[in-house]
Parts: sequence; structure tokens; C-alpha cells
Amino acid sequence: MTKSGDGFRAVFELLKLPTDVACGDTRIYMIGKSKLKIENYRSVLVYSETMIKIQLIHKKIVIEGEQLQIRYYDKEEMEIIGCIEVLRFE
Amino acid sequence: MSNWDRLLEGRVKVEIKGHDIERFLNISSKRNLLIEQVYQNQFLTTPHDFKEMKTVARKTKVRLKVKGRQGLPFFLFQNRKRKLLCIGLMMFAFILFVSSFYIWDISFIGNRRFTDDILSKYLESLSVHAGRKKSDIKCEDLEAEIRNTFSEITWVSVEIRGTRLIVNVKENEALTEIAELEKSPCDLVAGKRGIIKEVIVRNGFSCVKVGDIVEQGALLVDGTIPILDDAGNTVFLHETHADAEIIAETKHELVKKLALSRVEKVRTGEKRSGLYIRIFGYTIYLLPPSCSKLFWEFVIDQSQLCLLRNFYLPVYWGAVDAYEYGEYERFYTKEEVEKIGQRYLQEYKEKLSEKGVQILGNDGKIEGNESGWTITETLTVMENIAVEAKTSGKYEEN
Repeated sequence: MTKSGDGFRAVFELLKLPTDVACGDTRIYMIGKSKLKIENYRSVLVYSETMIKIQLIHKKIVIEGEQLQIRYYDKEEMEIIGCIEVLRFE
Repeated sequence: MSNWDRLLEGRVKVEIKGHDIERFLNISSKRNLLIEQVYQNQFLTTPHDFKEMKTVARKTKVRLKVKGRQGLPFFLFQNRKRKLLCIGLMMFAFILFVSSFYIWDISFIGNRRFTDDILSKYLESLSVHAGRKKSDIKCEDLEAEIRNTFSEITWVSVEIRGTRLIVNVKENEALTEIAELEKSPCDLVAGKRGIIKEVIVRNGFSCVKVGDIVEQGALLVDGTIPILDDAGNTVFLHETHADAEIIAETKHELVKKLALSRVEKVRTGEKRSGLYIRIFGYTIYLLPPSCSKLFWEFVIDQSQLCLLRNFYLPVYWGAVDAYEYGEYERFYTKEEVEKIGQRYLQEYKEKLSEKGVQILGNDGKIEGNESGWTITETLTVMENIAVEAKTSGKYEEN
């Protein structure tokens, strides 16, 4: 995040406003090891049954596992199901 | 998205081949094209979005191949020439529509003292039953009728949901009213012949003492109390409501007559299983044929068709088991008669015990002749024999 972005974040934190909504941060929810939901992503970089790489706002996330399936996705959110073994940021 | 939406909108299963699959997925999502269940280079999309995807596929140099179609639009297209199917579907929809104007199930909630059977029979007497038009039922009136008839029901709510009539009731756990004490003047007379064992007079003038043998109808306690002056003459008759407990030893005679024989059903072991369907009052049994000339007993496990939670229809079905049985006349043995007599006596004893009657003993006799069996049981009990009767006016002449 830029310096001005950091400034905004500091202001939002001071006002006790949710920074993820205000700054558009990525949100990741994981249910067990079989379901993963990502909100505010940019694009899919790599897709295969064993590895999915996704471009987030500032970073990349790598999901490794077996029988990975993108259950649904649209402009803002994506749900991945399957046997998730590794979750890594790059 | 719900399964219903998926079914109505239809889905196309597409196989994707090429080097730039990720780019295709990203551009599709940016253009708001629906992509679901991406797995093994296959995904689902709507027929409309699939057409839009062709330009994206050309741009990203991937090949799309339709692997399957599912949903209502494809079903209708495939069956567009089947007129009878179309007529059948329309008739089905029409029958459903007409059926939705009627009540097909009545449920009771919250009733404990009054069983479903009692309440159903009561509603039947008001012409409220399965098959009645919904518009003919006034819920408020029905609520008032139920409240007025069953005083123990303190709250009732009748509602129509779908094709169901749901009657919610709340019963009063405590006594609704305390019985008012009778105040009118009366005497107490003997309800039965017996030997007096105990006399407890609360109100009135006792005419019997312990050890007396009284016949039925004999005066036990006089409700008219004479007020005497110093010379012993009656100056005034005070009429009261006689109240007493006159415990006496009495005898109850029970007589039960049985025929010499009875008709008994015996299953032969032959069984047929099948289906049972009842639609709008018409019943169909789907059973394997049989050439037996004996009788059949049917055991049905019935279920009612329910499309949604509150949308019941007059269609019943279930498994039916038919058991063949034969009838023959069987003579009672003395042991069987004794058992019947004992069971009958036991039931009678239980009824007496519930009333608080003390049983001292019993004496039984079984007689059999050409006309049948006669079971005679004599019970010796201790009970209150006092019953209320109008004042005799014994002292009126004085």
C-alpha cells in the first residue's frame, strides 16, 4: 500500500471503521480444509486440479491440494472446494 | 443460486481446451458471465452466457465444446413435438390448481385430553372435513364453535395453510369451575340392599344404626329435622339438605352369557403383497392375482401425497399386505370360559376400585347347558349406599 493508503488506513483505524471495507482489502474465509472463499480478488493466474494461483489486491495466493474445483466465481468473489493441503502467500 | 433457478434457467456443461484457460476465466468473470463448478477443464454456464463466451474464446484462443445440457429449457425443446405430454402436464397443473381450493388434511396441535379422533368427529359434525372448499370455512366461527363446545379448551386458533387446516388448541390444566353444593332439601335413601357398617352424618337426622339390614329405597337419613318444645311437641320442621356417608356391606351380582361356540379366523399362511393407491376417493389395489376362495385380510401402510410442506393432495398410497384366512366354528372349553370370566371380573373390580369401593370377596359360578355358558360372579363390597331423594315429609302430619 502507498503512503497515502497507509494514511487512510490510520485514519480509519482511528475512527474505528472497518479497514477491509474502506480500503478494499482481500477477505479470505476457510471452512475446514474443504472450502475456501475469497473476496476482492483480481484474477486467476493458474488453474489446475492440484494448484490454483490467484492474484489478490497486493499479493498472490497459492492453494495446493487435490481435486480442487472452483465452485463459482464472479467479479468479486470466488469459492474453491476440494481437499486443500497448502495455502501460501507469494 | 437455488436449484430451482438452475432448473428453470438451464445449464450447459462446457469443456475448455487451450493454453490460456486462466485468461479466458478472468475475461469471462469481468464480463459478468456465469461460470460454475470449474473442474477438470469443464464448467457449467447458462445457455445465454455460453453464446457470449464464444467471442471470449476466440480472443483467448481456447476451444469450447458442449458436453451436456440440463434444465427445463432443454427438456421443453427436446419434447416440443410430444403433444400428449404437453396436454398431460397442463392437466396436471390444472388439477393441482383446482385442488388448491380445497382442504385435504386436518391437523391438531396441542391437544392432550381431547384426542385427534374426538376433534375430527366434532369437526365432521360441523361439515368440516377433508375435501371441503376452503372458502366455505370461516376460521373465526370455527374457533368460537370449538371454544363453546369444549369448555376445557381455553384457547383455540384455526388457520388454513396451503391445503391444510391447522387447529391449535390449549387445554386448561386446572378445573374450570367448582361444582356448586346442592342446597335444596332432600333425604338420603338406600340405593342398594345391605348391612350397615358405618354411619357418618354431616347433616340430617339418622334413621339407621350400625348392624341394621336395609332394603333398597329405605330411608337412611331424614332431611327434615323436627324442632321440639319442652313438652316434646313439634313446633317447627326444619328442612335441610341431608348429607351423610352410610357405608354398608352389599353384594354385586355379575352375569355374563356366552354362546357355546364362536367363529374364529385363522390365517392359512398365504400372503400377497402389493400397492395401494387412493385418488379422490377411488381405491385401486395392485396385487398379484389369486384363485383362492377363502377370505383375505388387508393390512395397509398409508401415506398421503404432500408436494410442499402445506400442500397436501387427496392422493394416498402405500404398501398393502393381504393375508388369506379361513373361518371356522370353535367351541369354548371350560378353561377358556373361566379365563373370560376372570377377565370380566377383573375389569369390573378395577372400575369399582376407581370409585373407591372396597372389595371384601367374591364368589363365582360357571354353568353350561345346551343354550350356552353362564358366568355368575357375586362380589361382596363395602360402599356408600346413600342416594339423594326428595324429602319424605314424615313429620308433616304432626
